[in-house]
Formats: sequence, structure tokens, C-alpha cells
Amino acid sequence: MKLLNKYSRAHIITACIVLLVSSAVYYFIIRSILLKQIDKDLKVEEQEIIDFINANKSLPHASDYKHQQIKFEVLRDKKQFRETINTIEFDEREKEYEPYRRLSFPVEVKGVRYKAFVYKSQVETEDLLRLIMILTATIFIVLSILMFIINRFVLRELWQPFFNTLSQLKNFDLHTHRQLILSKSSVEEFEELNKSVFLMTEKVSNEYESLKAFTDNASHEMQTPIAIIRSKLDLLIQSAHESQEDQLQAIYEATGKLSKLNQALLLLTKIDNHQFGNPKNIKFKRLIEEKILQFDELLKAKDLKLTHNLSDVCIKMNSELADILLNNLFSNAIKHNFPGGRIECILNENKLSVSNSGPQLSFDKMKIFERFQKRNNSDGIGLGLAVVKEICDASGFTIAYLYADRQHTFNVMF
Amino acid sequence: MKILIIEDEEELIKSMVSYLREENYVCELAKNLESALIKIGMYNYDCILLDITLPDGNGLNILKYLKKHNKLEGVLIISAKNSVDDRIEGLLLGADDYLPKPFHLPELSARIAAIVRRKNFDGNTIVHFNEISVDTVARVASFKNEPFDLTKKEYELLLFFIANKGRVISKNAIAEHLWGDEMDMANNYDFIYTHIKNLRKKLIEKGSQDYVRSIYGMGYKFTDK
Repeated sequence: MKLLNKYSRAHIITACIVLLVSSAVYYFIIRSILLKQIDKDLKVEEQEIIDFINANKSLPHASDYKHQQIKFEVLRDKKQFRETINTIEFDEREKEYEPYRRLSFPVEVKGVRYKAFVYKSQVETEDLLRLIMILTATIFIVLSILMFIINRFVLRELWQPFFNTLSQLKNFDLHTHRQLILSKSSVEEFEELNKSVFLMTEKVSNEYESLKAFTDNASHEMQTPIAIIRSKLDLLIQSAHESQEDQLQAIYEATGKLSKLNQALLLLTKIDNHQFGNPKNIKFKRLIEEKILQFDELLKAKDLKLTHNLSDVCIKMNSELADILLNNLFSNAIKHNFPGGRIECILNENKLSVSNSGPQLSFDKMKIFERFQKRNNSDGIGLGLAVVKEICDASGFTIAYLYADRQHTFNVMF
Repeated sequence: MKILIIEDEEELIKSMVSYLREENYVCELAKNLESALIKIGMYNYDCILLDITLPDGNGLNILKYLKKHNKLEGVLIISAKNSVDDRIEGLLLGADDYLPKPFHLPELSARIAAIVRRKNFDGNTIVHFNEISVDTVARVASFKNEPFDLTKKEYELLLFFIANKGRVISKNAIAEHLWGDEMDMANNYDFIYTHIKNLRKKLIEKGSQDYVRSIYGMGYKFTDK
């Protein structure tokens, strides 16, 4: 649920509860105030009646005005009483029952005890209350709508810096070396968030840069020792003894592998550092045909059947990278193939697809382009496809891997 | 033949000198740009091995100096920076070849031989080994003037052997020479074996002695001894 909705919901629920409770309390307080007012009027009336009786020694006329009635009844029992109650009386004029406040008290005229009733209509009170309640409800509804609008628009406006920061973060890419452009905010919290985000991304970028520099330096520093080992080996075998054959061969192979690893790492850092510029239009069909010739021996050795369907297309990319891309794709298709297997190469304007028969992967296929990911018994270095992926990324292509019917397919989408 | 090695890595220099001396090359050393420029100013060399990254500057300055003074030494760049840009820049500045580190010494030897051949102004582009001669311009090898029918790979192999005659060449060096290192021929020496077998057969068919010796499992040697 969006923060905005959550916030609005909490706001509206709280407002509802507060308004309901407060309007109930409001109702009872106002009602009791109004009743007190009526009771006061009733008492004034009582005093007037008593005064009248004292002055005239007779009962005043029972009266029936619109909102006030006075009645007398002969009292039979001796009990003294005085009470104020709410009753409902039939109104002759209005022809309906209406709420009244009734004060009853005893009076004595010439030794006869009477019970005097003074009625006061509550209709006005009720009307007033109703009016007040309607007003309250109206205010409540208007307030809710206003709050909703405020939440929608004002809050959205308020949160804008947050969403800006969020979209900047979403587009944050370590490879581009681009600093985040965070808009200034007058809100302290957002300003703090921006500061933290900025510091964090700077730190991440710096760490990444130093890691990259480390790989770069390490690979470069490794080259000279490898070159020395290799040259010493070339000298060593001049005078080697037969018994050293296995050891020397193993060292040769290990050095060769180390050297390849080193070259691949250097290549990856170079691609990362965008050191391959100036893309040119490359006649891919011709390049692929050259590669097929170049790999001919390897194909024949494994008795692989290569079929291709190549359109005459030009692809804009760095020529060295194009060469490495094809080398790695073909090497991969040959290496991980069955003897007597198939390789199919399709080239058209949209994509280059290289597929080969071969055993299923021994690892998660999502990891196929990860560095050092290789089949358990593979003697490769596990960087070939990582290089392919990097080249595709650097050239603005996308690459996808599929496995179906014992067929591995790599699709490079231009 | 006089060679100037401009390189700052002691052990690598020792290896190169040790290997090239066998080829009857006279090797001189310069471990930095300054001493290299002095030596080039004073003497003439048949070939210069040039490391681009030197302690006191970029080795490409040597090429600029040679160009400026119209010196015609052949230059082979040996660089740890295997980048196409460096290669192109070096070749544009007049270098003859570019060999990325780490390289095999037989490869170095073959590249030097090729440069020396090309730079030789007496027009001697034919390489001899006993009765075998290789015309490096026409790219034809022959036995007593009778041409062999060699494939491209077999021709390259023969030339590589002759450039490193009498020396043990590892299978790895041969594989890298014939296929480059980008094809990832890792540990697949059957190809080498096939090519060597075919080359031997063609040599013997023409009446040549079998010069190719298999040295245990490590490599091959092209020798008449």
C-alpha cells in the first residue's frame, strides 16, 4: 500500500472517530444546556404562578399557548412532590405528539391543594439540536474532502523530493561514473536523506573504482612474472631430462592457463573502463565466415556439423570486441559440444544466434554469464561467457541464453 | 647480427639473451630510455626489442627518435599492454612487429628472424636449412629446388622450426604460433601432432632427412644432429 494511501486512511479513520465521539458529547452537552435553560424558564413560570396565587388567592387560568401550557389538578394525597420530567404530549394544533418538559409542583389555594403542571415544548430545542448536528455533519464531510485533497495534492507535492531521490537511485549505475543529481529540499528530513544517499553512493562508487583499479593493477603486475616463468620454462626444456617431462608439461599448462586468465581479466577491466571506443560498421557476415574458416580444424577434430544462415548485415561496434565476441561464442559452442554434434549460426538484422548441441548445465542457468562459472570438469578458465556478456553490454546489445531439446542457444540482440 | 634489448625486467632480459645468443645474435642491453637513446645514437643494430613501459618514459619515444634520424633498425615491440591502440600507434610510428607479454622465446626468435629478413637489404629473403630452402616472399619451401606441397600451417610450422633450429620448442609455443592464443586451443595437442606428422611425411617423401625430433612429451626439435 502506498504511503500516501496509508497516511490518508489513518487520517480519515482518526477524524471519523474523533468527530463521532465529539459530536455525541457535543450533542449531550448542548442538550443538557438547553434543558437547563428550559428548566430555568419553568422555574420562572412556577414563581409567577406562586406569586399570582399569593396575590389573588386564586389559581390562574390554565393556559395553552403555543409552547407553554399550564394545568392544575386537585391533589388528593398528602404527599409533597416536585419533579421535572420529559414527556410526550399530543399537540392539538399540530396534530402530533411532541416532546415537552414538564414541571409539576404543589400549590395551595384556600386550603385546597393542587398540583400545578407547567409544560414547555422541546420542539425548538430539538430543532436547534438537529440544526447543530447537521452543521457538524456538514463540517465533517467538508473537512474530510478537504483532508483528502490535501493528502492527494499537498502531500504529493511535499513528498516530491523523496520521489526524485528514489528515481535517481533507481537509475544509479556504477559503470557510468555519474554522480547522483539530488534536488535541494526545504524539508530537513529529505535533505538529510539526500545527504546520506549521496554519501553512500559516493562511497560505493569509490569502493568500486578502487576494486577496479586493484583488478587492473593486479592483472598488470601479474604479467611480468608470468612472462618470466614462461621464458625460463622455454630455456629449461632445452636441457631438461626425460624424468622431468610431466612436471614441466604441467607447469607449461598452468602458466598458459594463468596467462589466459590474466588476459581475460585485463580485457574485462578494459571493457569496464570503456577503453574500447570508436565503433565501426562491421560486415558481420564476412567476419563470421572468416571465423568459421579459422575454427575449421577444431570443428573437424570434434566431427561437428556447422550450419549457418547469414544475412549481409553491418553492425556498429568496436572491431576488436567483435572479434573477441565471435571467438568466445564459437569456442564455447565447440568446447561444450558432443563429438559429432551440431552448431547452428544465424545472423540477421536483429540478432546473432549461435546454438550448439551439448550436455545440460551442471549449474543454475541464470549464472551462465557470471565470472568463473564453469562446468565441474571444464578445463577452461570460466571467463569466456562473462567476456561475451560484458562486450554485449558495452556495445549496447542484449544477450540471452536458452536451453531446449539438448540445444544451447545464445541470442545476441542488436 | 646485433640486437638491442630495451627492457627493464632483469630476469626477462637474462632469458632473452640466453636464448638469442644460441642463435648467434649479439645482444646489447638498455634498461631505460636514456641509455637506449645513447646506444641507438652511437651504434647501428639489426633489430631492436622495445618494451614500451620503461622506468623513465614511454618506449614509443625511441620510435620517434628513429624516425626523426632516419634510422632503419627493425623494431619489435614487446609490451605488457596488449592493446590494439598501442599496437597501431607503435606500427604507425614505424615498428615492424608487436609481441605481447607473456611470449614464448621461440616466438620471439621467429619474429626477430622475420624482421631481420625483411630489413636485410641484400635481398636475401630465402631461409636455408641444409638442402631445404624457404622463400619467405613467395612463401614456398623446397627441397633441392623442388617445391614441397605444404599447407599454410605446415609452411608456418617449417619456418618456425628453422628459425628455432637445434632448440627444443614446447608444444605450447607451437600451438600459440600456429593458432594464436585467442582460439583457446588449451591442452589440445592433437592438432600439432597431426600437422607435424604431415610435415614430416612430406619432407621425407621428397628425400629429406627426418629432422624433426620429438623430445619426450614436452616438445619438438628441428635438428640435423
